[in-house]
Amino acid sequence: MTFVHLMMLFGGLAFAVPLLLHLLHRRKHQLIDWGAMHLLESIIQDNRRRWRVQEWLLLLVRCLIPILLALCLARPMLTSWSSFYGQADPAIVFILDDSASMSRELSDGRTYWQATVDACQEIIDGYDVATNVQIILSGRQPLVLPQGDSIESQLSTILSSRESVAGPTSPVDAMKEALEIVSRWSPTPAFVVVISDFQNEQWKDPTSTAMQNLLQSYPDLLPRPQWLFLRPGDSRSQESTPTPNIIALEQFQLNPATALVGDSVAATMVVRNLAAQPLDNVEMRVVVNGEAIDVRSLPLPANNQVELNFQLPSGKLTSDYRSVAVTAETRYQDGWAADNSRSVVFECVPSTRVAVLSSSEAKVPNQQEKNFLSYAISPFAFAAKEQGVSDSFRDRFNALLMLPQDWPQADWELFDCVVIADCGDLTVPLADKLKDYVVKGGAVLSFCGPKLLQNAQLFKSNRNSQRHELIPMDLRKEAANPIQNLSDASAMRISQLRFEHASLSIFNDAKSGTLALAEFRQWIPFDKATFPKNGSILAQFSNGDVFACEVPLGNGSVITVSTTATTEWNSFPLQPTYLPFVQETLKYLVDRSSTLLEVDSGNVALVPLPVLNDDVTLEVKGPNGESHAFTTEKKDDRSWIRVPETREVGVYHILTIDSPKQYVAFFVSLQSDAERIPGLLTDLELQEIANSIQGRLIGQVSEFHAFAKDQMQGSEIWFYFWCAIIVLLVMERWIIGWIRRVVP
Amino acid sequence: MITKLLQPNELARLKTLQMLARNRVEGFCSGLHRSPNKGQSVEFREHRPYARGDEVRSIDWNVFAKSDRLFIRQYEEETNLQANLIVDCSGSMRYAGTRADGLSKWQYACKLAGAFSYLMLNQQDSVGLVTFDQFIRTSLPSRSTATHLSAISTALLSQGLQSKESSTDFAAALSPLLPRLRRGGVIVLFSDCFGDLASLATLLGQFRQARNDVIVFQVLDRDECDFPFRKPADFRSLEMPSLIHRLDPVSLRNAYLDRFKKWQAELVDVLAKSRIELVQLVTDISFEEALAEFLSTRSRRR
Repeated sequence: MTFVHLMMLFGGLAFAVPLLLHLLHRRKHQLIDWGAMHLLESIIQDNRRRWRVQEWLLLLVRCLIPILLALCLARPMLTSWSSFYGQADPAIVFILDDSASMSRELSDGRTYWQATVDACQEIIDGYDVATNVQIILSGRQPLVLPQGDSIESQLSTILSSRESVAGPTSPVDAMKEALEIVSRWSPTPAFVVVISDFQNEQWKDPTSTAMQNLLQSYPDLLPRPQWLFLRPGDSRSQESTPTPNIIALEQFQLNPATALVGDSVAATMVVRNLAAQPLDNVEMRVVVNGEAIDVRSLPLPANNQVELNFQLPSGKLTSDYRSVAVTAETRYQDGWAADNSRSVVFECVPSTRVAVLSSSEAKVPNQQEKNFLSYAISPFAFAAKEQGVSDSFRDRFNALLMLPQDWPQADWELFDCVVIADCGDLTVPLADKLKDYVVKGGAVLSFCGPKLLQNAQLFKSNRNSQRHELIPMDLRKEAANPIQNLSDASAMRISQLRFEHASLSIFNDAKSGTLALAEFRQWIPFDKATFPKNGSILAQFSNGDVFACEVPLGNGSVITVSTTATTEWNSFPLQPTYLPFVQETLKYLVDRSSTLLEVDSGNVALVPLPVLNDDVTLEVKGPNGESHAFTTEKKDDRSWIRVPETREVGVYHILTIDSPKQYVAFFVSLQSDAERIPGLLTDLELQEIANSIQGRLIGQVSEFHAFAKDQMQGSEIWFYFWCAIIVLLVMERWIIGWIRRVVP
Repeated sequence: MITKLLQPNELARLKTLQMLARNRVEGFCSGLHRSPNKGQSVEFREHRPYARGDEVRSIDWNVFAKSDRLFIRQYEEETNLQANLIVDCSGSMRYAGTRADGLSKWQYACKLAGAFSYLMLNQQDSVGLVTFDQFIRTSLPSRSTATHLSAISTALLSQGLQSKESSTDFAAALSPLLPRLRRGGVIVLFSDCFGDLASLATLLGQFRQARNDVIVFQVLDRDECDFPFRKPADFRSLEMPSLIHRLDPVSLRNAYLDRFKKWQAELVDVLAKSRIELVQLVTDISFEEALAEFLSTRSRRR
C-alpha cells in the first residue's frame, strides 16, 4: 500500500489527542466527599470488570479514529506492483485454447477461436505500454510461439492456423510453460491471460488440483503472476452444455498406407459413443489438407461403436509431395467439432522403372538371380505374367529385364534405378556408363556373385589393376579364396538387430521380420579398411564381414550386396524378409528417404539425417507450406535436426539448401484419446477454479485493462477508511451507552 | 453555651414542646411522667391488703373501720425520665449537601440532641449523652441539673471540632453501654445508620429488652436520597478518604437509588422486628418542625 500524501500520515500521531484529553479531563473533575459510599461500593464491585473492558475499548476506538482519519487524508493506494518492482512494464502471457471445440460459432457469427484472437488483439491494442508478450497455444501439447516475432506476426500466425485446430487443451502443461516464461522474466510482473471455452473435463479436478500443485512448485516466483480467465466473445452468458456427449474416435487407418497414383484406398474409422444416450446425428469426415473429402452422418447408439469404411480415390490424396496426412474428425449433431481426431500418413507414389541387368545363361530355370530379383521388385506383375493373366496389377516398381544385348542401346536416364544381378558381362565401358548415370543422380543396386567377380577388371585383383568406382571396396588380401565359402552347418547370419541405415529401418520393428533368419554360405569378402569414408554399411555378418553397404557417387548412390540373390549362395531369397529388403532398398535409392518418422503432435521432432553435416542450416517445410530454418546438430556420430514446432498435422519436409531434390521427411500424427466434454464450466465453477489459484475471472477485455491499471498503479481505498471511521464513531457512541448500562 | 448549639429563635420554639414519654419510666424525681411504681402522689390508684413491713401511715383507716380489715391505699407515682442521647459522630455524618444550607448531618443531629436535652431538662428529666463512631468518643452521665444542658452543648461542640474520618461500628461502640444504662429509660440514637444493620438491630434489640424506650432518628441528607449529581465526579469516602472513585452519576443514579431503597427497606424491617421506633429526617427540613411533628405524634399515641 502506498500513499499519495505521505506526510499526512504524521497526522496519525493525533491518536494521542484522546489520551491527552483523557488526562486533562481527569484533573477537572469535581471532588465530592460522599457519605453513603457503601452503596456506591457495592455497585462498583458488581460492574468493575465490565467497566474496565469497556473503557479500554472506548480508548482504543477513540485513538483509532484520528489514526484512520490521517490515513484517509494521506489517500492510501492499494499495493501496486510498481511499489515493489519498480516501474517495469508488466508482461503478458496469453494461453489460447486452439482445440477443435473452439471452432464452434458464437451468436455474432464468429467462431470461438476468432473471438479469442480478437480478444487477444484487443488486449494488446489497449495496452499502451511496450511490454513483453508471449503466446502459448494450449491445444494438445502447448506450443510457445517464438517471441522474436512481433506480436502482429504472432497473431497472424495463429490466425492463419485457426483452421487446423488441435486436440483437447492441456491447461496444466500450458500453465507450466507460462510459469517457465514468467520465471525467466522475473522480477518483471506478469499477467497470464487464459482464453478458452473452458470445458468441464479439461479444467475440473484433477486439473484444478494439479494447477494448484504446479503453482506451489514455484514458491520463489515473485511477483506472483496474475491469472486472468476470459471466455471469448459472449460465450460467458452460456450455461453449461447439457448434452453429455462423449465421442471417442478409437481407430483410423488406411489400407494400403502407400498406393500408386490412381489406386483407390480404403479407410476404416471406428467411432464409439461413450455416453448413456444415443446421438442422432454424428458427422464423421476424412480431411486432407484441410478439405473434407468424404463426410458421413449417422446415428450413434448409446455405449456402442460404429465402424465406417470409406473408399477414397487416391487422386484426392495428393499434395506437392508424395506423402499426405489424412485426418479423421467427428462433429456433434450441433455441428460442434469434437476435440479428438486421428491422422495417418498416406503415400501416393508414381510407378518407378527399374532396369535389371542380368546374364542370359540360365542354369536352373526360374531360379536365376534375375527371376528372384524380378519377383522381389515387381511381385504382382511377375505373378500375373507367370500365370498368364492380363497385366491388371501394378507394382510400386516396374522391373524391366535387360539382357547384355540390350545394354549398349539402353538409355539409362529413363530408369530411376539399375539393379545389377550377378552378371559376368558387365564390361568396364558399361560400368563407366553406369557410373556416369549414378553421378548424375541415378542409383544402382548391385548383387555381387562369382560371375561379377570373374570380371577382374572391375575388382582390384592385382596391383596393376584399378578397382572400378562401382565396386565399394577392395577384396580382403589375406583371404585365400576370393569367395568366402562355408558349409551348410557353419553358415553365417546377419546378427544385427538394429539398423542405423535408413533403408533398413523397417527391420528395427520386429513386426517387419528379421534378417537373421537367412543363412549365408558364400559371399565376397570385402576389405573394410578400404571402405570410403563417405559410405555407410547397411548390415554385416556376425563375423564382421560386410553384407551390404552404400557408397555415394556424385549425386547418386550405389548399394552393393556382397552376396547373390540366388539360393546357390544363401537362403536369403526364400526368406520373407527378402522382398521387403529389396523393396526398401530400392525405395531408398529412388527417393533417398526413409520410412517417415512419426512424431506425436506437439512434441519435438528429432530427425536423423542421412548425411553427416555439422551446423548446417536446413529448411523445414510444414504441411501448411510455411518454412522455418533450423541448424543441424551432431550427436552420436550422426547429424540430427531438431524441430520444436510440430503442432500441424501432416508431413514435414527437410530440404537441403543446395540440393532441393534431396530431402527427408517426417510425419506428425494426431492420436487423441476419447474426448469427454459433458459441457462447459459455468461462471461459478470457473470462478471457483480461478479462486483456487488466486486468479480472477473477467467478463470482457475492458475488465482486464481496469485490473491491469489497478495492479500497476494501485487503486485509492480512502473510501474504505472513511467507512471505517464512521463505523468507529457509531461504535464509540454505542460503547458509551453500553457503559452507562450499569447492573443495578 | 446552649446558644452556640441552638439559635435563640430555635430555643423559643422548643419551649412550647414537651417531651412526653410514651411509656412509664422510672425516675428519681417526681415529674410529669407516670411511674410504674406506687408512690406519694395525690392520684389514688388502688387498695391492697396490708402486709408486714408496709408503712402504718399508708393504712386506710376508713376501710378498716368499715370492714375491720387492714388495707393499704396506693397512689400513682409521677416520676422523672432518664434519657440517654447517643449521637453518631462517624465520618459519614459530616456530609453536608447543597440543599441543607451547609448543615451537615452531624450538625443536624447535634441540634436535635440539644433540643432534646433542653426539653427534658426543662421538665426535670435527666439526660445523658454518648457520642461514638468506632468507639465511644464522649460520654456524659444522666443528670437533671440545669447546668447539665451547658455540659451537653459543650461536649457536642467540642466533638464536632474533633471529628475525624472514621467509620461506624455499632456493635463495638455501643455494646459497652448496655450494662451502664439504667433500665426503663429512653434511648435516643441520632445516626445515618450507615453501618452494619444486623449488628445495629441486635444491639438496639438488647436495649429494648432492658425495658428501654428506643428511638432511632435516622439523619440523612437530601443528596443521599435522590443522588442529584449530573457530571462525572470523584467520589471520596468520608469515612475512608483514600477511597476515591471516578464515577458517572447519571449512569449510576438508577442503580444507586435502587440500592438505597433496598437499604432503607432493610433498616425499617430490622427495627420494626425489635419494635423500635424509627424516625427518618432529612437535613433540608428544619429540625424543630421535625421534632414537633415527632412529639405530637408521640403525644397522640399516649
